[in-house]
Order: sequence, then structure tokens, then C-alpha cells
Amino acid sequence: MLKETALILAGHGSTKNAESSRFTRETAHRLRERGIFAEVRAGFWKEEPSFADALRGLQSKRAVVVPWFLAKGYFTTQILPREFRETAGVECRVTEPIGSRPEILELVLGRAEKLCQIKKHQNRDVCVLIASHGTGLHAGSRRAAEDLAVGLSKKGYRSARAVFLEEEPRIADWRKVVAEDGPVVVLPHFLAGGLHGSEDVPGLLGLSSGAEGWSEVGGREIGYGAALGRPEEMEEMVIRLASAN
Amino acid sequence: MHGLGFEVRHERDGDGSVDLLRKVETLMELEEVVRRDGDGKYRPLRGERNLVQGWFYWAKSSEELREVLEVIYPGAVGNWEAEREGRLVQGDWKGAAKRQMGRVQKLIENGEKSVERAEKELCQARCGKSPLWAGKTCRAEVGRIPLACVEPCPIFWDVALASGS
Ligand code: SF4
Repeated sequence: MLKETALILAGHGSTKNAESSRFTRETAHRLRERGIFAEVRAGFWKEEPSFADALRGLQSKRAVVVPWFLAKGYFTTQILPREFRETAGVECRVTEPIGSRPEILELVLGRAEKLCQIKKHQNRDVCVLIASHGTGLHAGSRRAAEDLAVGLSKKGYRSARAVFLEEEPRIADWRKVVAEDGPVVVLPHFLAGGLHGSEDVPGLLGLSSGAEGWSEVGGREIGYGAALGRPEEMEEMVIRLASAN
Repeated sequence: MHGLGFEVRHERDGDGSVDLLRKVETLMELEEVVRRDGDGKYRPLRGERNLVQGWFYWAKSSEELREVLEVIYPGAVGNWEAEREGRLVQGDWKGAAKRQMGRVQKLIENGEKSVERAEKELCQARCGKSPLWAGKTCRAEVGRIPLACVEPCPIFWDVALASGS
């Protein structure tokens, strides 16, 4: 079935930041090499190839579209279904976004664990924050982050909470949602390549860079995790989404 | 030297020896080549007339050649085929703007001038594609794949919005 189907990774892209689409494109190339799908393309909203361009070049009559987005939001529920609905000659199926896969929790847990190990911290001493976007327009974004916080809290951390760019509790107010002392691990719930995970969130936390690792902010130890979306982590998730009915 | 296949290179690199050109091995690497201008800056407009020279790609099959063209000029082959079969759909910019976010949608009411300006400053001055949506036609010349633009690209909206402010 997949052998006769084209895969389209549908991302946001950018007209200004060359790196924002890197992991999406890289994942597309890796999957093409593996020969699982008839054809593989990446298409973007704010970058070439556009979604329409990605479809135009296809030889296949059927395509499965995997949204390179973390949350169910405006893009995945409105724009993508619309853009892939009426497409000349290619029947498209849009899947859930990659962020909906349960493996995301594993990835986030792995990042938290890795940071704790570097400093040999015990989970019970560490407060964990999931830093996400959030938007008043759509509940899906908030829910995804809160679910991750629940998953983290089962691992015996001192606390696990979600904080947001555009909703309460705000990332800038992180001190109010963690204990008064002790180390804090912050895990960006963002896809790598965008400025939110690499600049905005670190800025709000008082970090000088978005690099993975530990720093000190006002006498407080803060461990910052890597953003999501590494091709080697995403590849299998994409295949699973594309194969599910 | 290569066996059967297709050699892809910049037109301006002529037909001299490939020894003078850098061999691009993978599609990902080719993407990096076409996504940067001569100064290494981001080149988001694939139709822009500043594609860097000095490289070649050896496509071992017509399928691979298609993939290569898809990287250099996304959608161009598909548009060309659609045009020959009489099914190339071309809309107008207002129809395309309706599907964009709020700021672009506003251009429908008061952006006629900005869109005209952007068409001159961007499409005509910098892009090798022909904007069919602006009433331009695409000349199909012998031995050349026409570069049709059926819908304004993201850069176009950026430029149109900037020229309106
Ligand atoms: S809208 Fe203009 S600049 Fe953009 S691809 Fe089309 S012709 Fe080129």
C-alpha cells in the first residue's frame, strides 16, 4: 500500500529563516532513501516547495500527508485539510500531526533524564517544566503540553508543569510555578528550527542561548533540553502515522 | 565517464569539462546548493535568477532527473505536463489571498496597488517564472521547460505587504 502512495511532510517553513525547515527536509530525504513510499516530498506554507508544488510533481495518484506540527491547531485542523482537499488528480489523506504520537512523551522523558544524569541529580530534587506555545484560539496546543507534564510527573520528579508563551502560566513567570530552590529542567515543546525554541523561550528564562545543557540563572541551576524534530527520532513516527488508517 | 544518465548543471556553466565543477552527490546536498545565493545567504525564491553556478549533478535515471528538477524548480515539471494536457489551473491573486492569513486577506480590499508593485519589483525584476495569475503568459520554447507560476508565492505576499506599509 505505502509502496504505491506518496508521502508529503507538510511543514510551516519560513521566508526568512533558512534553517526552520531543515529537519523536515532531512527526514523527507531519509525516508525517500529507504524506498518505503512511492515518492517522498516536503511541502511548506511559507516556503518553496509550496503544498501545491509538492503535489504537482507527483506520479502517484494517492498521497498521505503528515503534518510536521506538534499540536492540533489552526494549521492542522483548518489549513492543511483545506489545502489538500481539492487537488487535481491526487487523492490525499491528512494524518494527525507528528506531535500527537505517544513517542513524543518518550523523547521528552529521555531529554529530562539526560539532563539529570549530566549533573547526577535525583528526579525527586528536580522541578520540570514543559515550555510550550499555547494559544487562546485553540485548546489543542495547551492540552498536548499538559499531557506531557502529567507523563513526566509519573517519573517521580519534584514537580512537573506546563508553561506557555501565549497563555497562563507564562514562561516568563516560571519561578512562580517551581519550588523556591533546587535545579529546574526546562523542556521545549517546540520543533527544532523555529525561533521559539532556540531564542524566545531561552530569553524568557534568562538563558543566554538555546543550546542543550545546564546554565545558572540568578543563582539557580537550569537545564535546557533539545527541541523536538530530529530526523532520526521522527522517521519512524512518520511511518507509523502514514500507515495508520 | 558516468555511464548512462543525465548531467544537470547551470546553463551558464556551458558545456565545458565537469572537472571544473563540483559534484553534488545527493538531493539533500543539491537542496543546500539551491537554497543559498552566491554570498551564502538564504535564497527562498527558487525561481530567482541568481541560482549559483559551479556544480553538477549526475542523475542515473529519468526518475532521478525528475527529483532533481523538483529540487531546483519545484512544481515546474508537473505544471508543464498539466499545461500540455490542457489542465493547468490558474487562478487570480485574490482567490489565493483568500486562503492566506488575515493580513494578506486584507490586500483584497485595498491592496491592488501593492500587488501591482510587488509584481513589478519581484516577479518581473527578480523571478524567472511567469506569473499566470497576473495575466502573463508562459512561452514554451523548444528544448525548455516553461516556468509557470500559478499562484503568488510566500515571498510575494511578504513583498506586497511591505510595499503597502
Ligand atoms: S509570485 Fe512572482 S516571485 Fe513568486 S514565484 Fe511567482 S512569479 Fe516568482
